[in-house]
Amino acid sequence: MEAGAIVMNQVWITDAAAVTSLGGDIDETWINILSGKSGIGKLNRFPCHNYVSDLAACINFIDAPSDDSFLKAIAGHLVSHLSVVPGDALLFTATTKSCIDNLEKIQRGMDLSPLDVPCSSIPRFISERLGLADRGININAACASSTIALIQACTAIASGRTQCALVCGLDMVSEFVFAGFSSIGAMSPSPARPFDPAAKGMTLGEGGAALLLMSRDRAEKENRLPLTGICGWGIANDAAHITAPARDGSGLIKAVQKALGTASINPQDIGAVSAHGTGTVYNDAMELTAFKHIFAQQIPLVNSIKGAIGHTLGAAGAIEAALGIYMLEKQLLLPTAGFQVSHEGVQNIVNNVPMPFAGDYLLSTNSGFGGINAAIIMSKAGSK
Amino acid sequence: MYHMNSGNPVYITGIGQVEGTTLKKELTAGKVLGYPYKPFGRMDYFSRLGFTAVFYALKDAGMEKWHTKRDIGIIASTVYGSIETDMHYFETVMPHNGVRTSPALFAYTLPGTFMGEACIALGLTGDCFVINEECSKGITALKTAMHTLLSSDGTHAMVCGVCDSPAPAALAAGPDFYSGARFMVLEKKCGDKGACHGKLFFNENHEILYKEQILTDIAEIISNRQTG
Repeated sequence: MEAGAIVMNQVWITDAAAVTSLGGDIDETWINILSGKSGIGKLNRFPCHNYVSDLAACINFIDAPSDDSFLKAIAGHLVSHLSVVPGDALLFTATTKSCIDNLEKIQRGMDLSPLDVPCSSIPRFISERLGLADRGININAACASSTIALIQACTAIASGRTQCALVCGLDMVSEFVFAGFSSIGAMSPSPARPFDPAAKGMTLGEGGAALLLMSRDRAEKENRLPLTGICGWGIANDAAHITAPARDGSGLIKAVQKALGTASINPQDIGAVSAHGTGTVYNDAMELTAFKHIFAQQIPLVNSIKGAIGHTLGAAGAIEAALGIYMLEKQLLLPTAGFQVSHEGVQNIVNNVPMPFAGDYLLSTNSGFGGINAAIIMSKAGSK
Repeated sequence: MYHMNSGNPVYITGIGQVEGTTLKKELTAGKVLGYPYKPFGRMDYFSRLGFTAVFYALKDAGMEKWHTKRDIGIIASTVYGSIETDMHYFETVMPHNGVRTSPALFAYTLPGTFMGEACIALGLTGDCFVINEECSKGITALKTAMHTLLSSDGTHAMVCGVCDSPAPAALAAGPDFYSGARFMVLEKKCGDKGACHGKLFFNENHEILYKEQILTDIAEIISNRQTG
C-alpha cells in the first residue's frame, strides 16, 4: 500500500463454512432451518436443575475430547470444510469465552494446560492448522464479536492493508456461560421466541462459521467467484447500560446508519434484515424501536435464526452472515422459529415460515453486553 | 463510501497509565474521578485498571467532561483479559450445581465490560471492542484505532491501548507481557484543550512511524511519562 493513497477495494466473500446444532455445513443448516426444524433440545452436558432452563442447541455430532476443549473440535471441523485458504490471509477470530471448558476442567481439578484458556489460543490453533503466516487476533465484543471481526477484515481489505482475510466466529455451550445467563434472568425456560410478545428470554446455542474474504482484484486473479459482497459496516456503543440495551435503540440506529453510509445506499435499498433477535424482551423491543426509526413506515422483512439454533454468542454474526449468503442468493428469508404473534405496530415483518424478498442488500445486525452494536450490509453477487 | 487516506497523520493528544502493582483500594471513584460514582465500586480489578487509564488519557486530552454523547471509541488489547474474574466467578458456580452463581461477577467475565463502563461514564459512542493477542505491545490496537479514525468523518477521537491485570500464577507471563493499563487518545488534529504528545503515520509497509522511527511497542510512547 502506498502511503497517502486513498483506497477502497471491493470486498467479496469467496468461501464459507458453518457448523450448528442443525448441521455440519451451511447446506444442512439451511435446509433444516428452512423446513422449520429446531436444534434446541434437553441439555445433558451438566446438571441444569438449579437453572432457569434445561434447554440448549448443542452440536451432538462432533465428539468432545475429554482432555481438551470442545471448541477446538468445532474449529477443526469448521476449517476442514473450507477450500484452500491462502497462506497470506490475515486471520480474525471471534469468540467470547474461547476454550472456557478447559478452565472449568482445571478448576474442577483436572490436570490440563492453562495455556489454551486465553482467547488468543483459538487464532493460534486455527493459524497453525491452516499454515497461515499470520498468527491472528481474536475480537472480543460480546455477542457482536463476529460482526466486528468481519468489519475488521473488511476494513483491512478495503483500505488495501491486505488482499485476503479469514474470519472465524465460534462459541460453545458451557456451564460457565449457562449459569451466568440463568443468574441474570436472560434465559427462557422454553425455546426462545424471537420478536414474539410472549418471549421470555434466550436459549443458548453453539457453533461457528468461517468466511474467506478477498478483494475483488485478488479473487478475480485466483478465479474465485463471489458468494456475496460486504459493502457496508458500522459499529456504535449505546453508552447506556452494561447488560441491557438502550431502550431507544440509539446505538443500533447509529451502527446501521454508519453501515448505510459506508455502502452509499438508502434504507429503502435494504431487502431484508437478519436481526440479532435473541428472544429477550429488552433486546427485541430495542431492535424493533431501532428498525422503526431507521426504516420509518417501510420496515423490510426481519428474521432471527436464534429460535432454531439458539444464541451462539460470539459466533452469531458469522453464522448469520454465512446463512445470509444463501438468503441473498435465493432471495428467501429464513423463518423465525418460535415466533407466533407480532408486536403491536410492527405486523407482517417477522414470520415463522420462509419469506421471499426482493433486493440486492441484506442488513445483518448484532448487539451485546457493554452496549455494543454492529451492522454489516451484504450485497448480492454481481451488485456492489 | 469507505475511504481512508493512510498518509494523514494522527495526533496523540492524551495519555493515561496505571501499573498493575496498584492496589485495588487505590482505584476508587473518589481517587480516580474526584467524585462519587457508584458503578466504580462494583468493578473488578481488571476493569478498574482499564477504566482508570482510559479516564486519565481523556483527562490528559482535556476530554473527560461531556454534556452530549461523543463519537469516541475504545480499542483495547489484552493477553489474559478477565481470566482472574472468570476464575472467581466459576468458584461461585461450582458448589451446589450453580445455585449460588454470582450475576454481579458474571457481568465482568467479558474483557470488554470496562469499556462499556467507560462509555457510560464518559458518554462515548464510538467503536468499542477488545483484541485478544499474545503480547502487550499494543500495536494491533493502535493500528486498528488509527484506521478507524482515518476512515471515518464522524469519529471525534479514538482511545486505544493495552490492559492486563497481573498474570494468574498458573500462566507463565512471557517477556512481552505488561501488567497494567496504558491508553492514549488519538485525534486527527492536535487538540486545543490537551497536550500533544507527538504524531503517528503509516509508512508504505503499513508500519507506524513515531518520531521517524518504526514503532514496535506503545510503551515507547507512554511508559516514561507521568500520568494520572
